[in-house]
This record gives sequence, structure tokens and C-alpha cells, in this order.
Amino acid sequence: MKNKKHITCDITVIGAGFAGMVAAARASALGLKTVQVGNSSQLYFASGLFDFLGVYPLHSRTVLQDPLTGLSLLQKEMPEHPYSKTSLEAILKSFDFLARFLQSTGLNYIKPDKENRSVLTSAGTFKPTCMIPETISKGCLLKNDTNLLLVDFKGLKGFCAGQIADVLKKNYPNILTLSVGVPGGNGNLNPAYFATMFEDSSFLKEIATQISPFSDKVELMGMPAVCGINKSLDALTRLEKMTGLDIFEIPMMPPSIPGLRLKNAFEKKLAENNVHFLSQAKIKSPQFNGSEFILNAVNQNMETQIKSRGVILATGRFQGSGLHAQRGCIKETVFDLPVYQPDKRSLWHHLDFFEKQGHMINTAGVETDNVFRPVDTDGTVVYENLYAIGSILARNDWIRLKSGSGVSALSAFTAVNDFYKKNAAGDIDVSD
Amino acid sequence: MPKLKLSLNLKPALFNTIFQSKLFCASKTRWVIHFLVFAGFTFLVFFHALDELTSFNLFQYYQPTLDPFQFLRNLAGFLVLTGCIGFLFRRLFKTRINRENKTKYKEIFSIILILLVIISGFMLETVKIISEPAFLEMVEDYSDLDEDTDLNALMTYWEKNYHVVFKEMLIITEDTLEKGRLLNDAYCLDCHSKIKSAFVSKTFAMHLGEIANSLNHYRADNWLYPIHYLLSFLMLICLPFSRFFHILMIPFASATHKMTSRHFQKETVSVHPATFAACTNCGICSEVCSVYPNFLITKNKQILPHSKIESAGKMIFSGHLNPEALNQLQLGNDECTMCNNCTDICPSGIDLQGLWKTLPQTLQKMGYPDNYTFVKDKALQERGKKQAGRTYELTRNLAGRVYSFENCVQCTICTNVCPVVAYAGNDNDMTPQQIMNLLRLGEKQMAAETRMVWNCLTCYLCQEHCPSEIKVADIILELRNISNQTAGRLKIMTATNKANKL
Repeated sequence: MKNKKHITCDITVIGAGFAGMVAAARASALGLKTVQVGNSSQLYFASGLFDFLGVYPLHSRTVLQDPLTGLSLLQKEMPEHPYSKTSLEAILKSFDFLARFLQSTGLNYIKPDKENRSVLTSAGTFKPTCMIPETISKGCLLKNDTNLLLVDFKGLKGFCAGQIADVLKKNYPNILTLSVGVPGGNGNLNPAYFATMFEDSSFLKEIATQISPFSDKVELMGMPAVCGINKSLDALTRLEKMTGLDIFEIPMMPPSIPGLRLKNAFEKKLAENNVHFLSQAKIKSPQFNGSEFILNAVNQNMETQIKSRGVILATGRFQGSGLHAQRGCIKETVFDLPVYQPDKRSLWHHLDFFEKQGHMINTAGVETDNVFRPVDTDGTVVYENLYAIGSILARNDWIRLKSGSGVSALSAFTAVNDFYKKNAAGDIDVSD
Repeated sequence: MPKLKLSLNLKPALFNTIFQSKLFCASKTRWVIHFLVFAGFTFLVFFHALDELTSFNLFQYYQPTLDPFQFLRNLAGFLVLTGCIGFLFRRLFKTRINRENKTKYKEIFSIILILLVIISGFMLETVKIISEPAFLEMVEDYSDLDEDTDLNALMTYWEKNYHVVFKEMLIITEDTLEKGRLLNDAYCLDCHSKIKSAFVSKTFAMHLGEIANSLNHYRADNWLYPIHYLLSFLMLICLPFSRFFHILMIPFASATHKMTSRHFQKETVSVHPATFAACTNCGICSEVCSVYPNFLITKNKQILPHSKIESAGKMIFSGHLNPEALNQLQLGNDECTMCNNCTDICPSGIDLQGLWKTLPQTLQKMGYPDNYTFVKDKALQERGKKQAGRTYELTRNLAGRVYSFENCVQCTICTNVCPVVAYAGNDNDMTPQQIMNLLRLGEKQMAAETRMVWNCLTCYLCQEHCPSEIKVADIILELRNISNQTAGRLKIMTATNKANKL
């Protein structure tokens, strides 16, 4: 049986991925009455690293050391890209806001630097990124002659110290590896549960006693990113004290614990900020009555009617089901907005899987004006107060450009600011 | 069979037997009706039926026709009559929780038997009142009246005051009445109280009219005796084979163990088989059963305590249950949450919960273990292999539809949040994400045979965390139901095969 509830609010964020979370964070921080609808579990796939711009131009196939030069080139060459709609200043401000927001939840991030940071991954490669959790930050101290200890845990799948060392050994010859046995483990560890064990000091002690023999031989230690969930930095610091080593985490395959930390941090703080979160609900048959959106959020046992002045669409692409690939064309699933896409299905993917320019389908999405309001094919704004943010934005191959978090944070920040300016603030400057 | 253990608990037994205290707590209406019959009938049995043993010895001047005995007998009969009518009314017009017609007719038979005994008693008393031959015999035996005028006077007095019906018309005058009164005082009053105290029979007698003479002519008072006796003996014969047996068994059931927390710690509970007979199948237990909603969904009657005890009794005493019924009994008993509601309310004072606790052991010995054990023993898997090629009729819902699990990206989030997987102490075999993978491989039957589907707590964490919004917990629950059906089917098959071999 479905009970129907009614909510009236200023702004509704559809989607609870990274972009949706930033939008809800910004909206609630500005004091807007916010409703969020969606499934926050997509954050399990987030690495916890915030990329700005890691690769440009696409075909260069090299890591971009200085994102700013890349950005100015991108803004010149790709005027339709989300980054080209605003200034560098806005991008930095959105990152700044994000860092402050997460700091207030106890999740510390190292603020953007002029240069991209290289973060060691569980595949033994380095990933260029911009803003990183403090627990990962010491990995940037890694130099070619560093005496490094790589630790893995027996039973934890998807992370092998030996494999990483093997990939790195050409450039980093002084790497030792260690497999730590887990007390009480039954041979099969699942990261999310395993991570909670690190918040127990007796467990930390047992781990530390196995690592301590290496304290004199190495100066830096890398371990999989499973060191605690809600008090990760605290757990890591304690482990450092026990072992006398500098320790950094290495991001893993999903389910990613830094992603889970991000999810918990957002959920906790947004709840404190009175964001009404309708978990796992879907928007059915949205309507616009001239001044307000009327949205029906439906989940398994409840139906909620939301009346909202503004809507932020952060439903993601195919994985998040913001876009749906039909036989002939790609559709936007909530408002049926016009979708920028290749003319024919045969053009969606290039014949060469490793094509330098990437695949056309990865640029599909919703086209917007400069404040991220979806526009029609002739360039007119569809709804005054409807914004689209995050990966649903068109002409944005964020996986290849390594710019996903940057585009999400920027578009969320800009869209909410714009809505606030037009509907609530009057002349107050909300850019900070 | 549960082993016999007698340890009497007299206080509740007395209380529940004499005052039916538990029935009073369960339902006031039922108590009133039941108590009318109980009190009336007990009085009649002790002071009327067994009067040679009791009343004559206890009371020096006892005569059935003397007050207060005459009045009390009528009152008791009247109470039983009212109670029985109440019983019948409830049986016929009040639909009770899922009752079988067979039990209903069994009860109606018992009630009608009581009614017949009581009515025949009243009829007997009525025809004795009006009987002229009986009057004349009494006069012959107990007086020395010689003159016709004296006899006539007594007859006049008795016709007027005791409602005897005489063939001849008697001329009533003041003088004869006065004379009759004096003679009555002299010969009859010692043994005959005023007739108005027999208020039921007297009313009948007064309204007989013309029939009275023919009744007297055929000596109805003589042949109604054997009828009344025969009916009473019939009731006595039926006692152990009908619902009447509860009269003897309830004190017994109420006296044996009650499961309290104290008992629970000390010893295992055991139920004496005789307690089955204490059950009157009143159905009050099922009205308070916490898993009654399960019955509404599954329609398995063996969930309800009053049906369960009936089947269990049949199973233990006569072994008349077929494999299908035994399987249903096992499934039904499996649903019991041991909330103790049924034991608390049972008017017969039966330790029902003790029975539910011992029932699985009995069933297991008979080849009907609970389904979890069945699956754990791998028996299912082996049998599953043996009958490869057989297609299971699977419901076309979630686990059978590709779109419900095709979006799974095997990200293992469900496994990561699963408390069953996280607990290292159990013997879990597959994780939720592996079950989704089995479904993707088309191995639905294998997925249904994993221990995970039985270990699942249905906490729904997996479903709530799934980024692809797959209904993981719903699917697992559905697989458990499929497995449940399969296990039941295999158990029946095994039992039938065994029976065929024998």
C-alpha cells in the first residue's frame, strides 16, 4: 500500500551521486529548503580523489602536470565543454567549498595545488588528481629512492603488494612487501567490514606488531585504503604511532572505502542541514505548473509529492540511469530533455576500442547554457529553474579527461548559486 | 513420542477445573455458557444420578421430591438447558476461526447428547407428576386409606396442588379440599414438597392438556425411566471417545508443567500425550496466534495452534497423516515464533508451546526435518543432481526475470554490507553478489540451494545499498521460498518411496 506524502521545498536535487551531494550541500548551506531524491550507493564507486583535469588534449595520452595550462587550452578549443562556461576562479571556489564542507564532517582533504598530484593506485600506476584525502596524501612524498614498504592483507581481494611492487620496481627499486595475516579472518575479507576493524585499537596493535620489524628498514608505508571508515585519519595516525612509520593509503577497486567515507560524510552532514532525503526513490511524471515543479517521488512503499521551485538534475549517465540508451536514440529519463548525441547508433562507438579521441557516446548528454540550465536544440532555456549538473552534461568525456569531480563540483556549485541569486538572495553576492 | 513426566501442579489444576479460570480470562461469554453447563451438570451427577451414594448418606431426610433437592434439580437442569442452547447457538451461528465441519459436528453431537439427557429427565419428572397410576400405587404403599371418600379427598387435593391428572372428573368442594389437605399432611408431606419448586416440570405438566390422559394410560412414567437411563449410559460410554473426554483431561493438563522461565532454565519441557485429549478445539489459541497473518498469506492451516494440535494428536496416536499433511504440519510449525500466546490463553491449560517445541524432534524422526537442516545436509543438492532434467515449476517473478538482476555489475557492495557475510562464525557458502551471478548464469536452482538464502536475515541492507537498485533481498527471499517448496516436495517424495518399498 502506498501512502502519499506532500512536501513543499525551494529546491529538489534529483540524484545522490557526487554531483547531487555537492548540490545538496551547497543548497542547504545557503539555507534553501532542500529535498534530495536518489540512491547514494553510487558513491561506493567513487575513488575519493577529486580530479580537476588530468589529461588534455585527449590524444596527447600524457598526464597533465599543470591543470591550469590545460584548462586555458581546453576553454579555447572546446567552447561547449562545461569548463568553458565559467572561469577558473569559479572552479577553485567550488573545490574550496567542498573542502570546507567535508572538513566540517571530519573528513580532511588536502586543498588543490598548482600542480596535479600523482596518486599510487592498486594497479601500481599513478593517477593524476587534484584534491585528495589526507590519509592518502603522504603517498605524494614517494620518490624514486624512497625505502617503501607495501602491505597487503591476507584474504583481502583486489590488492596485492607484490603485484604493485613488480610494476613499480623499474623506477622504484627499494620496495619491500609484506602480507599481514588478519586475526579472526576466515580467509575472505570484505573491505567495508574489514575497514571497521581498524577503528578497534586492539586490532591495530596486532597489525602493528606484524609491521614493526620493518620500522628500521623503511621510511614510508603504503597500505590498501581500508584504514577505518568514520575515523580514518585517527586510525591511520594511531597506526603510524604504533609502527613509527609514515603511512599512506592506496585507493582500491570498488567498493571503495574512500568513496564510502565520502558517502557517510555527505549523508551525515546533509541530514544535520535538514536536507530531506528520499532514499532510492524515483521521480515519476514530473510536471511544471508555470511557477512550480510537481514531482512524484516513488519508492517501494511510499509515494511523495514534492512541490519545488527549482530542480537540479544530477541523475548521471547510463550507470546512474539519467540517460537511457534505446535502440534508436538516447533519452533523458526524468524530463525527456533533448539529448546531445551522435546522429546514428553506429557512431556511438568507434571501431577501435582504444581510439585516441574516445567514443562519441561518452560525449552524449544534456546541453546547457552558462549556468547549467538545459537548453533546447535552438538554444532556448527549457525551464527557468531547471538545472542539469554532473556527468549528465554533454560534450564532457570526463573519464578520459580525468575531470569528473571537477565538472560535478563546478556545475553543482554554479547551478545552486545561480538559483539562489535569482530566487532568494536578491543582490547578495553568493559566489563564496 | 514425548516422554511421560508427571509433576503435579495442583493449585492451577483445581482453580482451572472448578472455576475454569483460564476460560474466564479468555472469553467471558464462553465462560458464562460453559459454566452454566458445568455447574448444573456437576450438581446433577453428584446429587441426582449418584444419590444412592451421596445424597441419601449425606442428608438424613433426603427424598428426590423434597425441597431443596427438587428445586435444585430443576434449577440445575434449567442451567444446563440454557447453557446447551447457548452452545448450539454459538456453533450454528457464530463463525469461528477456520474450523472444520467435522469438528463442529462432533461437538454438536456431544451437545445434543447432553440436551437429550436433560430433556428426557424433565419429561420423566413431568409424566411422574401427572401420573394417576403412580399416585394410586403410592397411596397403596404409603397410606392406610380405606374409605373412598378419603381417597377422593386426597385425589382432589393432589389434582389441585400437585397437578396429577385423573381420568374421572372430580367434584371439588371446600370440604373435600380441607380433608385432602389433612390427609396430605398425614401421609404425603414428609416426602413431597410443594410442586411449584419443580418449576420446569410443573410448567410442562400444566400445559400437557389432553395428552396427559393418554400418557397416563400408556404408563409413560414407566418407559421414560429406561430412556433416561440409557441416554445417561450412552453419554458415559461416549466419554473417552468424544469431546467429553476433556472433562477428565483438563485437570490433568492443567496440573502438568507450565512453561515458565524458571522451568525453562532447569529442564526441557515435555508434553504428556494425554494432554491432546484435553483440547476442545475451541480455537481461542488461534485467535491470539502471532503468526495468524502468515496463515492468511500461506493458507496453511497447520500454522494455527488448534489445527496443529489436532494433526499432531492424529500423527502420534494413529499415524493417519499422509506425507503431504506431515509436510504441511512441519511447515506450519516452522512458522511458530514461540511467543507463548497460545499457552497463556489455552482454557484447557495445555502447555501448547511445549508441544510445539517437541514436535520438530518427532517430525525429524519421521523424516521431516526443518528445511534449513535439510538443505544444510546437502541432501537437496544431491537429489537435485539426481533428477536433473526435471524442470521446476518456478514462479515467474523476480528471480525468473532477467531484468531484475541483469543490471548487476558485481561490485560486491551487497556482500560488503551483509551482516551474515561479515560474521565469520557461520558456515555461509555464497555471498549475495555471487547469488546474483548464479542467476545471471541461469543457475536459478543452484542459487536456491545455497545456504545464503537460508542464512539471510532479510535486513535489506544489500537492497538499500545496491547502486544498480537490484532487489537483492527480495530475490533472496524468493529463492528461499522456492527452496522451501522443493525441500517439501523432496521430503514427500522420499517418504512415499519408503512407504512403497515397505
